[in-house]
Amino acid sequence: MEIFSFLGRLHPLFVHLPIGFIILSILLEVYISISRIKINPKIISFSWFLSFISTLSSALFGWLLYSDGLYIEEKINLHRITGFILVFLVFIAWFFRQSYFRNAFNKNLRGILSFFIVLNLFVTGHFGGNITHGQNYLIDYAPEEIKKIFLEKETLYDEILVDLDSIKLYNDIVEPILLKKCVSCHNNNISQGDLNFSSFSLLTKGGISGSSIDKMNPRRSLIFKRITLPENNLKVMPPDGPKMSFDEINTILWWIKNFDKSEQELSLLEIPLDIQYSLNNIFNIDFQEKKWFDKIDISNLDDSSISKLSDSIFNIKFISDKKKFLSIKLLEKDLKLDEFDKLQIVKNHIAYLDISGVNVSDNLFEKIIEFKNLIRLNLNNNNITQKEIKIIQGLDNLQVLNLYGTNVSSEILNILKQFKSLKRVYVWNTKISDRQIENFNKENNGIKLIGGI
Amino acid sequence: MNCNDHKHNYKFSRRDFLTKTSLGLGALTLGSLISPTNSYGNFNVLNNKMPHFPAKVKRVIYLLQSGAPSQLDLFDYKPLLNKLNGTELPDSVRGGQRLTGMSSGQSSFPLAGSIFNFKQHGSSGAWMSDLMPFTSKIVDELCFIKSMYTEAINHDPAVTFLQTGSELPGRPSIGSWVSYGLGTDNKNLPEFVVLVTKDKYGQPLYSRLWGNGFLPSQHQGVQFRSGKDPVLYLENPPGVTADLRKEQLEYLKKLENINHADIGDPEILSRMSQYEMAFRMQSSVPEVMDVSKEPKYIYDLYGPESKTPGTFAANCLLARKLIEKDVKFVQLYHQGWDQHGDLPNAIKVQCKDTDQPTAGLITDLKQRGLLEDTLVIWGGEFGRGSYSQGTLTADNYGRDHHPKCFTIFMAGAGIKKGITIGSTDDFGYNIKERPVHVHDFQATLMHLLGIDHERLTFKHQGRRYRLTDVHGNVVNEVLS
Repeated sequence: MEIFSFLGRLHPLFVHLPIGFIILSILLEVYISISRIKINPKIISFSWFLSFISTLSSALFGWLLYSDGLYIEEKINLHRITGFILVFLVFIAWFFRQSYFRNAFNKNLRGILSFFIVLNLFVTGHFGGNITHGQNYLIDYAPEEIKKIFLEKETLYDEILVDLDSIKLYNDIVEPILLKKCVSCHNNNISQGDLNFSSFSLLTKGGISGSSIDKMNPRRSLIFKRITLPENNLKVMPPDGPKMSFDEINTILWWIKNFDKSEQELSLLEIPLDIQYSLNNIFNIDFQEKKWFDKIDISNLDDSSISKLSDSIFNIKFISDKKKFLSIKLLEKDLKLDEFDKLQIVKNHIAYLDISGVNVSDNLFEKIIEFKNLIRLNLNNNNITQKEIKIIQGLDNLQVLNLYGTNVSSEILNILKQFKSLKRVYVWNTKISDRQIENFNKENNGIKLIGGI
Repeated sequence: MNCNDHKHNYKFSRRDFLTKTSLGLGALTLGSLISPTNSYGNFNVLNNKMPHFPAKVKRVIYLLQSGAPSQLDLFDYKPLLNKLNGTELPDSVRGGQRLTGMSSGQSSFPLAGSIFNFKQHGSSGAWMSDLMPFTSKIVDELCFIKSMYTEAINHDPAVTFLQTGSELPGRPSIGSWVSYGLGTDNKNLPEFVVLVTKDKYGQPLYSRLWGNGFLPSQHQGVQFRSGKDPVLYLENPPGVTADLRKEQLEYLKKLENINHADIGDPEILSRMSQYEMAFRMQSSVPEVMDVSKEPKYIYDLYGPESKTPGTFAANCLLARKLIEKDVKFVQLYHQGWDQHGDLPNAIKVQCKDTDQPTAGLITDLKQRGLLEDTLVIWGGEFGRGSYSQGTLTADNYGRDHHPKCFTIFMAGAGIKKGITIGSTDDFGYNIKERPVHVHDFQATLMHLLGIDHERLTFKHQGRRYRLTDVHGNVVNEVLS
């Protein structure tokens, strides 16, 4: 009934009355225990009576307010329990001030009772205050040192370390934010404002104030409005705990704009740069395409294995001071197989290999196929044909193949398609015609043939 | 890459001497014992010079256009200047910017629109004037930075700033830093080679622009002469054989080692390594500099001048050959862009010199797969202003120095293709978006080579120096 709701809402106003009476009663108790002047006990009894009646009525008003269902069970529980304990304690205090029992209660017991009443009063008041003003109301403007002690530390989101094609917009991005900031109040059990964020389908339904999402005007969406209200506004969401951060708000707004793509993977979405920054800040999602040297897991080379190579016919260099991958270039015009065999001890560490401008044999390619982390292979100006390239088509990491000035013909084109990671192949000055190059590139199979003049 | 791993830093200075002797003679002995051995001259995998991170760029060709080409007549299309041609440059645009003594006395500053036609080219739609028909064809390979700016307003400080990171002479050139930081990939050729177009005049070039500054002297740029003999006296004199020369050097080395043990000056070792390099160059240079085996279509690609030694075109062809031999840093200089007057005619000559060879070089590098790890840079030391220096006529004008904005372009490894970074205002006077300072450009160049510009330092006269001094941010937008 509306009248109950109306009365219920008077609770926060009314509670200040019993607080006054209780404090007055206790002050009177203290006064008579330390002063020689006698006070008529009936006055104290009457003061306690007012305290009891007003405490009881506020508790009842509070009950009415609670029945409105606007509050969360867990948050209100403590306030309710302490409230009713207070009613009981105040009743005891009044009861034993009646003339019959006055002597049953000695001075010390009276003192202890008063102490507990005051304590209970503060605790109840504090829990009540938390409900109306939010948990951090008292310390919001406190000096930093005090804040540090009381403010809860915001928990961080779990990092998302998988590829973009397995991150779903709603499930992996939006839901964790809602779970952290909204679902504690808007779930199956509580659903404040009749709003339930515990699943995507329920979320789209909206609450009492209507749909929380406005796809046409994302900024007018209720959810966006409420999370962007000023911090001291009564309607700001979330009411307790840390508010939404800029990055969270930014992400939510971007999601509303792409609401129809909620089920899609991030790799299918166009993600503006500022959203990339935000998602990176929240979930540590890396939008940079992973470089090959970050993808291949390999240990560092130790100096002893490299020192064996120091007098070879190759120029051998680390590609970075991580000492994982090598760049190797043949310095001589003549390649002896036994020299090449020396590279076996570092075969998994060879990323770039340049053996251009020499006469090479088939046997060599049987060895090259073992360099499974080879990224770039220069075979230009050699006497090779597609036959040799076919031998090494199992090089799964190979990205760049330089074949200019060789005898390869158009038969190589189908072999090239077998390479898993191949991106660019240089075929200038070979038997492949410009037209064949053009047609191959039109097929758009991830490999670009580069010809020349 | 270990910075300051050179013996230059393990000499005892007066201060070291006092510090260490005050701790006792034992400390002095220990100090020299723990001094690491020199790693220079080591040409193998144990050579401890490594990039800080995997680099996309292994080699650089820097086509420095000395004198400052007019970006307003080449790349930075400003139709408003044509519309307002002859009207006064608004003070609000100039914003109190200082001018050189050459035009500051002018009573008026009439805006001068370019008389050249601009068109968009390629699928990237880059604006280019008709002056560069060949480069226009390859714009989709290029990355333009239209918002470069510098601090100097005159040539010498500006080109010194661009090359060494400081307006004052004395710091090492970019190529020297690269040589010092990354070492060599070819023991028979220097890491840093300089080619200057011959018979061009204008702003002077000094060898300190490719000097090693305070770095050990083997890191200085080695200038190959423009002309038939890039390096003089490669041939042994009659009666001296290669073996004899080698033997002579070995004896010289023994003597120098005694000398070094006695005096301890690391420059003795530097000098020895240069003697040895010169010996190796006796056989390597004739091979690399021999362009006679190049087919006709390659000469055609670089343009008609490519057969004339010492021209920009011939130098571009040589640059490719040097890059093929793993020279790390090839620096070309082409003078004559300083067009204070008669710009429309003078710039045509310059473009004829450079347009086809530049495009030819980039095309040639691409077809050989060399753009996979080679970076080409084209640009001057500053830009040119949007008002006319001297009298503006219907078909003639001049442009004074303009440090507040200029355009450079790059092509090759590690950078995005077919993009333009930054822009200038409609007057082509101020930068509108994404300013790129010379130090930012240098930091980016170092980054592309795998060097953290903040970590490659050299201690000299009590403090650590680096190319970018205490400035520079990598321009991430250009990185691919």
